[in-house]
Amino acid sequence: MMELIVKDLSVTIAGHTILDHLSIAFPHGKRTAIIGPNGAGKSTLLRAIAGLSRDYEGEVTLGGKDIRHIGRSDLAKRLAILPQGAETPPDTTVARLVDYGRFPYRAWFRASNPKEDREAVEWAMRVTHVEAFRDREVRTLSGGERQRAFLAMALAQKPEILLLDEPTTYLDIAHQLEVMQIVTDINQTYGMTVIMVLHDINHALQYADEIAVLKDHAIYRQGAPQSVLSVDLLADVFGVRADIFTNRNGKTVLSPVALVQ
Amino acid sequence: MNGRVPGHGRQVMVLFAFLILVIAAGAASIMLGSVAIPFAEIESALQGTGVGTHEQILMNIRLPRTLVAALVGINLALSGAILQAIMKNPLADPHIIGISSGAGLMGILVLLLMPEATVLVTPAAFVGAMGAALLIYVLAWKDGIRPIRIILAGVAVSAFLGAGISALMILYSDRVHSALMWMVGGLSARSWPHVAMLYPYTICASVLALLFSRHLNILQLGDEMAKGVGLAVERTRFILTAIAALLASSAVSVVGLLGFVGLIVPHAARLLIGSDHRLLLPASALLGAAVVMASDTFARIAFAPVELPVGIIMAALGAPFFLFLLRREL
Repeated sequence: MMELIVKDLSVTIAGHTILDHLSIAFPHGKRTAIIGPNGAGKSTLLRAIAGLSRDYEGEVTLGGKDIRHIGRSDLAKRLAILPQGAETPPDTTVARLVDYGRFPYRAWFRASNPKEDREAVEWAMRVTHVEAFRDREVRTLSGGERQRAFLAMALAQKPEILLLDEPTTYLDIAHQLEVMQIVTDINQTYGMTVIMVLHDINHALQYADEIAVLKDHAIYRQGAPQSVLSVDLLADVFGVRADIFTNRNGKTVLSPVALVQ
Repeated sequence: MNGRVPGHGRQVMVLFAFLILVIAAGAASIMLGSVAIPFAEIESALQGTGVGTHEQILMNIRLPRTLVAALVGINLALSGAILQAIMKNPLADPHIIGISSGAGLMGILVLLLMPEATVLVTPAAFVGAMGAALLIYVLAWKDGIRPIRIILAGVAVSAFLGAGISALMILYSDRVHSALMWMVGGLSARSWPHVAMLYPYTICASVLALLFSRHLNILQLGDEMAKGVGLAVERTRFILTAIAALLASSAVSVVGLLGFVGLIVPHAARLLIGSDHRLLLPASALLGAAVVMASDTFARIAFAPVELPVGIIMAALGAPFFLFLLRREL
């Protein structure tokens, strides 16, 4: 079991405190949503966990080992991230993009295990429903299709932990649900741990097993969605007065009403 | 590219066509010149059974010059292709990392101040090129390298060294002819020692560049994504910049400041074969060799007995052709 633990994480950028002695442990095999107001440090936390930024105090450990001491390609086999604002050269097809996810498994020019690579790529394209446009250029896809293609690339890494940075930004409602449903399926079928920064609290309520709320550069609350999310918390953290309902799936839904004066 | 992706069949065809171009340009470069040498004599000369002046011309002048042209073309085109990929900037070329200004200043320093010591031009230019590249890399470093900082530091350093070049040319305006020839780049009187100087770089760097071609593909996804799939971005970028600098330095220190190959040839190759560096790098190398050999041949015979520097011919013929490609393919 690969435990991911953040201990006393502090980040300052240009003299501004972004994270201040933040500590959190992520439950194995669960979907954890990180929520919080703009500027609370959600993306900074995710980038540190992913090893994209190593400029911090404190430590992030994976299975007891500081991730700064794990080689980039070894880390990429255990932990994959779907960052925001991904780009591709104009003639990159979906199949080639997904194949890039096998990079950490390959030594130099030749593949060491081509069969395993091919199977991982096919599997990743199947679970994200992008097989149908495998030969299309990535730039010709719609926003939702493109996001799924990049998700397939991350999955082709066959990670134990999947990190998502606001995966539904800029997508319409149907494509938002599609992406969240795929993530849920992967989590439930393959037991992959999912850690996602979400700005839509209703998504966190519907699709997360656990919610971590960031406020003032540290973790404010962590726990099951129903127990964490309350009218008081929304007022404290976001400064918003909200009504809370239960929808027909039995999930909690919130509707912001006004700013707290 | 009209939304289509070049298929494998087309890519293989393009590579094959480039190979034919290299062979044709090489043959023309050996056979044509102020003395035309028939094909049969080339064969006997290469087998060591030829006699007379034709063999002398062939073995001591034509063949080494053709090889220098091919090696310079390969080195500059590969260097440009690598730099465009790691800077993710279509305007990146060996000039950007200070190679031209560094080699230019040191080369001209020798040509103008010590005109009797022309043998020093090549080593001095090589040192100048590598020195300028290193200076720019150091100046651009701040918690790692961002391509935009390299480009801006490169512009500043090149402007600074360029001022030195201009000052020297004005101070020594009576000797400026040799410096001008060096500035546009030329292949006349290049021979076996130059081949020996170039080929180790060509071989080592070509192998290294091919080994790194998948890394270059990954870099095109952006730094974040590249790190995410396990690429050591900073280290890769440093190694590849060093390879590109060595390739370009070896080339410009031998032939002077050939500007066109490192910038345009990789673009032309990319338009025809796509952006997969496993194919783009070999394609750029082949096209670079063909372009320099063909241009040099043309430069020798077009206005014979006057020989134009190859740099002029290459830009004059290559730029319109590239514009044609650009209109057709994009």
